Amino acid sequence: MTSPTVRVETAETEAAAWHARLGARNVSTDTIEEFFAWRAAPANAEAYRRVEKVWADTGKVADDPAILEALDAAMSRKAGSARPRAVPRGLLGLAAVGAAAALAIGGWAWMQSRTVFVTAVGEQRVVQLSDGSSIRLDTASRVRVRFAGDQRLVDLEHGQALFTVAHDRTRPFVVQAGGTQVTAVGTVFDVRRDGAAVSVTLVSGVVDVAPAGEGRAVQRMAAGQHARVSAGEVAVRSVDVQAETSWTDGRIVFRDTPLRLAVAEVNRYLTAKIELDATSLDAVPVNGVFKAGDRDAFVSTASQVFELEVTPGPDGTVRLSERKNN
Amino acid sequence: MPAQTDEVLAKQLVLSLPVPLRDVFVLSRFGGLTNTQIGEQLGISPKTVEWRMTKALAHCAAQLRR
Repeated sequence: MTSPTVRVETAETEAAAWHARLGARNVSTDTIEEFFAWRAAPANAEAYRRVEKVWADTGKVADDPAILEALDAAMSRKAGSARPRAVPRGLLGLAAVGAAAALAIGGWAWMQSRTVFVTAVGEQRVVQLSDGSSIRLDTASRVRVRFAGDQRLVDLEHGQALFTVAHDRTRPFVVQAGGTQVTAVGTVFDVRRDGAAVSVTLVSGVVDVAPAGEGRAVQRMAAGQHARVSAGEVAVRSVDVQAETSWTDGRIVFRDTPLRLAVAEVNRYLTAKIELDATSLDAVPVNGVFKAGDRDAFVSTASQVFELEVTPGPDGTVRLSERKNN
Repeated sequence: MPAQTDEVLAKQLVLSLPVPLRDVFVLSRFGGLTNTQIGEQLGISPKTVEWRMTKALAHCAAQLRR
């Protein structure tokens, strides 16, 4: 690195403080709204991006000898009682580590030769492609990448992914999800498979969505739109893109989401899932922001707000049921 | 190898932090300690831990601006 030191700007200090604040177990909707408002300023968004980059990049050097030495030095400042690494790193898989750490790009050169990328439940991963595009894979997802001369083809075999496409007019970037095709030139968009249905959220640029089947009309989407493709039909509406792509920040945002759907969404990131046994509450709206994979935070909030009883189920699952006496 | 360069830079940024900031940063990022535990370890308040963590991150982020 070259000296001298660059002076810290206010936006960077604020970005660092936001990063800490958003890392808390429970973040209120007000806080997240406030964050989005702050981040709407381009300079703030840039500062936040740099803070996230520092966080992600430092996650990759955790085993570096010089870093371990610095950690040892810090541990021996005082004969403290706390021990590093003895701290449970999250009983719920990656919850405590946080999504930022899980996003580490492992072995760039090695990845180049691979064509299939998979994430386990609770895992997220960023895959850099040889053309400069990147794919951010959400929990339990699988993509197959096939770059030919005139086309960049990616199969989303299951799950969800955010595609940031490097501009190349001569080689369209095509994502296939089942029979549905999403074609982009240079843009950012999210594709999610839900059973037979496919959802596409366009963050920026333009994409064409073509449902499966002969002679189906191709739908052109604009930024900020969400398309749901089901049974050969494409339904387009405007959405809150920040909320739809919130998983890329390692968090799940609920805005008046029915409890049953909220539980299903939280479960996507869990191996030991939540079972909801409260039929009368299936449709009650849930609001809030949760860290993906943090089951405890969701269970404790939901059980308090809706007065649900929490009981352990088989195989580490947890059951949320209505209290008998209310 | 862009990823490699990023890692080297990240490491250098951490190691070149002033010691009080570096201690807090490595204990949090690599030691997995909570702010309270870091405070106990270093004999400072959790609030100070939080502030130093913010300063450390902001400092590193600023260096990426060049």
